[in-house]
Amino acid sequence: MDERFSDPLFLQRTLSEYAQGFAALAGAFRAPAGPGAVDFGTIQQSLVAGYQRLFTPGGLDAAAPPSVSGAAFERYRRAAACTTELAASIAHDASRRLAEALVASDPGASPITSLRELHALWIDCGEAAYAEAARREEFASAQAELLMALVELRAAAA
Amino acid sequence: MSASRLALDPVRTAAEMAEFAQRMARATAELASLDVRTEGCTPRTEVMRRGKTVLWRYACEAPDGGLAPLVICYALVNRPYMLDLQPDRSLIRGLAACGLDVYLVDWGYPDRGDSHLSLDDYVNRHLGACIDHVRAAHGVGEVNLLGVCQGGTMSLCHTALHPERVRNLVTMVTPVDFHTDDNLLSRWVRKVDVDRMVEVLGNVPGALLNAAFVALMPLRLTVRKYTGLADLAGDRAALENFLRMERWIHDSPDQAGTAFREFIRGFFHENRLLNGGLQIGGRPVDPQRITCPILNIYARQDHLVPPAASRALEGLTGSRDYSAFEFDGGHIGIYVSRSAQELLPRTIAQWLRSR
Repeated sequence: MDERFSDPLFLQRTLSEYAQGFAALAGAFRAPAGPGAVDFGTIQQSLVAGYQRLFTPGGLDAAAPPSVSGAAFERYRRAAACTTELAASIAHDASRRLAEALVASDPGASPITSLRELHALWIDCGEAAYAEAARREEFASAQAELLMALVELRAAAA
Repeated sequence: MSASRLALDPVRTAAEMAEFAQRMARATAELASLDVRTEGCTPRTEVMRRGKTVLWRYACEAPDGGLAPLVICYALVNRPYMLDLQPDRSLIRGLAACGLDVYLVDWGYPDRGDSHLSLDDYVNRHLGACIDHVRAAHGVGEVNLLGVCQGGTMSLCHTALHPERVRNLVTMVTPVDFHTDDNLLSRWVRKVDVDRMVEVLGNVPGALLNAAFVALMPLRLTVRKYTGLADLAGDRAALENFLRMERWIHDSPDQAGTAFREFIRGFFHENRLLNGGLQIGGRPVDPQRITCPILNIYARQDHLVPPAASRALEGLTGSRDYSAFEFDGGHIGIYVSRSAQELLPRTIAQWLRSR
């Protein structure tokens, strides 16, 4: 059993975190630039941070040792920076897709009248952006490099 | 500035947000009061143990004497109680209700002392000992073997190495071709230096594998799932379902380093079941030696084992009796969805009876 799950507060913290994400989405759309208009650029910027956290490879820290210095740490730092950059890129693409999906290019497109609908669209756009990026060689390489950098950190700390 | 589909009314949005927060808080509190710590729901008996591997036999009120006992070989990854999660979501219970005498191979939780366990140990010795126990207990020469996910791959290997022990083989969401274009997990794994990883870590943490599985669809498997919990507030049964699933997801055993390295290299890196050249315990694993009837069950929306990865089994073996069943669902739905409960036990039992 994952030790974190044995902590009775783990699930509550997780749920709280995602509930805050839902609230943050609402907050991003709270103040349109004017009646009937939305400043997608501002919204996109506000969503990128949220997306970025979601796309950063999770769980790898399960193997992370205490901090060490030297070559292993430098390799880890570079690998982490690379995946963070990739995550940011995916987040930008996801936000761009969401902005596009919210533009009524098709006169028949149904209006988004609830946060629930907006949230579902947000997830679809994010997953689509991620799926496209995750199939690329550079994504696989970055993930593998981060994993192996963590392994080397562990080795260095031993 | 652009014309927008957004038509959020501020008052209604505020009310929706408040209701969401309220329902989420209620669901979270209700979850905290639940306890679903069980490893399955169908009565069972431990009939054999080798190392951490346990063979369970499940209660069956009216076994069909005409059918050979069914041995289920689960994956090394995750725990097998997914097959017996709760009374109305139990493939095992469904199979037993169809008159099948069901056994389950449970690999347990490998610890540091098990890091040397190899595929030879798992596929030949442990699975072999389980099958031999069932053969002896029933006085039969062959069993029916059902392999699930990675356990299906292991079952294919076992059957190729010991064809005389298996009367019929059922594979379920089983990867055979590990290099299909749509296999995201395989794309990632092929970049990993598994030798170095195992050299340093010994056993591979289950949490690491879990993270990789979630990373296949991170938003659906986290954001959508967790925010969807608000809809379950006040529904005790649904919350129990949710909690059982969460517990199962986080209940991921560490992987014995040697077997993990062999599996990753032989299957993910080199795709040797398909390409040839696979060896386990120094013996070649030739799929052509599998001549028993095969039922290959896969899931149309499987994000973990894409259908093409499973369909590759057709024509690979020496069997002249190959059937396939495509389930309309995903990798988890095939165990726990309502349609799976209605379809799969009946399909498997009917297929076995007709052989």
